[in-house]
Amino acid sequence: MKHNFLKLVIAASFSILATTNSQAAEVKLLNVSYDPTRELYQEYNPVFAKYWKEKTGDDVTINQSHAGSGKQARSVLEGLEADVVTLALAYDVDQLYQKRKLIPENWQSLLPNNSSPYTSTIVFLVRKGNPKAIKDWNDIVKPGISIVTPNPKTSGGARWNFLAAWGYALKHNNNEEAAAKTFVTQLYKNAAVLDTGARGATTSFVEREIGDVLITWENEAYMVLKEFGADKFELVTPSLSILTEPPVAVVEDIARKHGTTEVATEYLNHLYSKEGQEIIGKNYYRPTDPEIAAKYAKQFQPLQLFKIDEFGGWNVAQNKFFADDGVFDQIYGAGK
Amino acid sequence: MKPLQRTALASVINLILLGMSSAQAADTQALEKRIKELESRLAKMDQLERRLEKLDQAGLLSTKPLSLAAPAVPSPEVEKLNRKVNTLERKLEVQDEVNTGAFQKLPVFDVGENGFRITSSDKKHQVRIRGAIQADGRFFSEDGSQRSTDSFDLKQARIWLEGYVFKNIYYKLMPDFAAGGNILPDAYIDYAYDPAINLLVGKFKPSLSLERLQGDSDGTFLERAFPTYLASNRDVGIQVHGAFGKPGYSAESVPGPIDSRNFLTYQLAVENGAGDDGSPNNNAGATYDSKEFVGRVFSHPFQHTTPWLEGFGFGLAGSYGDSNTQALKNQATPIGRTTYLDYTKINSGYATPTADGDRNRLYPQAYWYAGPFGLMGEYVTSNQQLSSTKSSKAVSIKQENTAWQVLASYVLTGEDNTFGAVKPIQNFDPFKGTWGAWQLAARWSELNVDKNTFTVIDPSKSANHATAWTLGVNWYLNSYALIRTDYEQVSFKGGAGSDANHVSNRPSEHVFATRFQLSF
Repeated sequence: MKHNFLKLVIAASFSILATTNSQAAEVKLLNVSYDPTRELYQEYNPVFAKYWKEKTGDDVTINQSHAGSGKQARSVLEGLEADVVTLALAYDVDQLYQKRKLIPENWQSLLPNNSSPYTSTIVFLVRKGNPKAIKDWNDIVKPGISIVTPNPKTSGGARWNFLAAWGYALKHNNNEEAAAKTFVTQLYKNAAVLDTGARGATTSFVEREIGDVLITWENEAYMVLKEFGADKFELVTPSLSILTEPPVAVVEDIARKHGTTEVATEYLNHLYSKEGQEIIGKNYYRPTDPEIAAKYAKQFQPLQLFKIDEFGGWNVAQNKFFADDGVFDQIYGAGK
Repeated sequence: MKPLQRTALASVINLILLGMSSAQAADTQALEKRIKELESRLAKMDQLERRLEKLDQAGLLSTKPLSLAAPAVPSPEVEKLNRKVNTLERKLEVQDEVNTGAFQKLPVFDVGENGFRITSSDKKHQVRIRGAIQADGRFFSEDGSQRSTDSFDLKQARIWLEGYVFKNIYYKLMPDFAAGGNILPDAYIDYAYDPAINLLVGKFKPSLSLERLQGDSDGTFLERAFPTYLASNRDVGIQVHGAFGKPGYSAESVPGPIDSRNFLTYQLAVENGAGDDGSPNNNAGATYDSKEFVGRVFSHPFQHTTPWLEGFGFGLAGSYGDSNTQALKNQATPIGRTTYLDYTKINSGYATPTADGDRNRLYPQAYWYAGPFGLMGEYVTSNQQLSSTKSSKAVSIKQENTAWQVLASYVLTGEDNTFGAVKPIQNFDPFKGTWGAWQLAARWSELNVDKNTFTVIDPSKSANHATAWTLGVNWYLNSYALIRTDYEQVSFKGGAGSDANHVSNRPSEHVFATRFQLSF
């Protein structure tokens, strides 16, 4: 009797051990992103979790953090333990290498399309009926137009806005920098409020009813139409704008520490899959997969796009326009 | 509603018909016309009834009074003002957000009872600015032979930085401008990896004498007793130290060489070996290869038990080294600081002795602080090999000096007595009738010099035994300022006479000393 009980205990112990060993691992990821991607990743994360569970048997929980892109990059540099970053522009991601070597120097070449699984552009959102008849960039610099755009010092989207306006001004003024500066100075003179991030700017325009026009991401403008009603706002696509390429990267140093390198890498890779690209298209980002991009092409208005390369890349643009005492500081000081 | 109406209409028709029969003069055509009118009105009423039912189902038949006036459309001016107010409100919100973010990143500058310190917003870095001034007066009585000089002295003038970087790398950089050539008593880095194991590197107090480890501003008397001076004052080296909590409790991380808080602490160090009461000059390196090994364990065995026993601690410290012709420092009386053991006053034909060979010390030590009471005691036995020459012939002496002390103190004003400084409950403010904290103290201390020593040094110039008793009153004006007043009498054996063959006792020393100290 005594021996039987002992055998039972041993057998039970082995069973528990075996069960424990075969239990699925549970991992957590932190995706530190910029302002308007909330809805995109809210939809993508459960899809990826399901995919990962089917592939590996492991459960993955993805937490999201959103704020202005520059602010988010600083948070990671100051200790926010992001497994992946999905920021608004390459300069902000690159800071993770430049300042703390949290990612490899060649991070942008580790994923397709310079690590940008989706693109977008900068458009206008106006009130229903377009009472100020805004059609293009030259309409929003007119006196009396009230603009809402975030602060380029804290928001990646705002830096895209700035460069889109600057690019338009150059193209329409024989590439004269002085004319572009005057144009953008006038634009910021019309700015009613500079929010710290794109979502804050949306709040100012949509909920607080500030301004005649919101300069924003194309996906953000569509989100407003979907959430707040096309009977209240209209999307105006300018003739020319910038192709925004928000990049993504595994924060290798932190992922290695968390033991999440594999799942974090797959999390970003899966954004390029048909499934991921479908979600991207549904959330009004421009998919990079040609087939999915073609499928969603009809939801975007045609416009002429130029790339950041025209400014010499992000490092050059950042130093010239947005560094302390750069062009933005000069013109916003003048515009205030 | 519907049945009621129908009943009412039927009654009206019946009455009409009844009226007609009773009149017996009705015109048939007029009657038919009248019936048709009534039927028509009944149909209209049915229609009305159906419409009312629909409205009722739609919930539009509210019992609330109907609003008579249509909502006012704001004028363009009001709209414009609304937008301006909205914009201003939003601007303020954004500014608040920006300011909050900026404030969160600002370092915290803290000035108050805990001193002056600047801490980074993430609390990872801190610099604390500290300082101490000790201005002393010493007055000797019954000093007919003028052995000692009454004087005012600046004992300490220190301003120092201490703090940490990246949370667990502590540092202390403490110059002393009142010192002669050796102006840097402490300069160390302590990597507090875990309470159980820390690495201390630099110049610091060796973990030997309990009283030496007490903060320089925290002692009970102006100066420390005899046992302290048989160990080095400061030394340069590396120390591994750590602490353990009582089972069931976690240990507290205490950076630096002094830990009087944890259940069990240890220190293990390798140092150059600065000799008795020695402190190396800033630019002085070691003069020989072999190093001094220092170890100490100390425990508060009754921690987390009854309050009366919690402040009891005891331990044992020891050192071992192998010195090589190291100069010996003269020994002085505790408060008076007059030399009573002079290694330069030698017997005829001998050379000045040096510490040369094995040296070891053993320091059993204990204290007990309970409420206003405080007791501290330690004993030391110090063995060292001395060498000299006589007529070019090497002379080697084994010297075993011993010393001990017991001190007791009592705080009169209700504050807790501690190994650290007494913190007054009420600061001194005569206009408010508050008088700070007052402490009384008494100490007995003795030192015995090995008789072998006097093979080389002149017994008529140096005492072989000293006994000191001391009384003290400490007045803590506030957390930073205090006034100490001590009286000490030291009696000697030997140390006086015309030559080594006629030795008598050196006259007793009677000294009254006071100190005004500011330490923050």
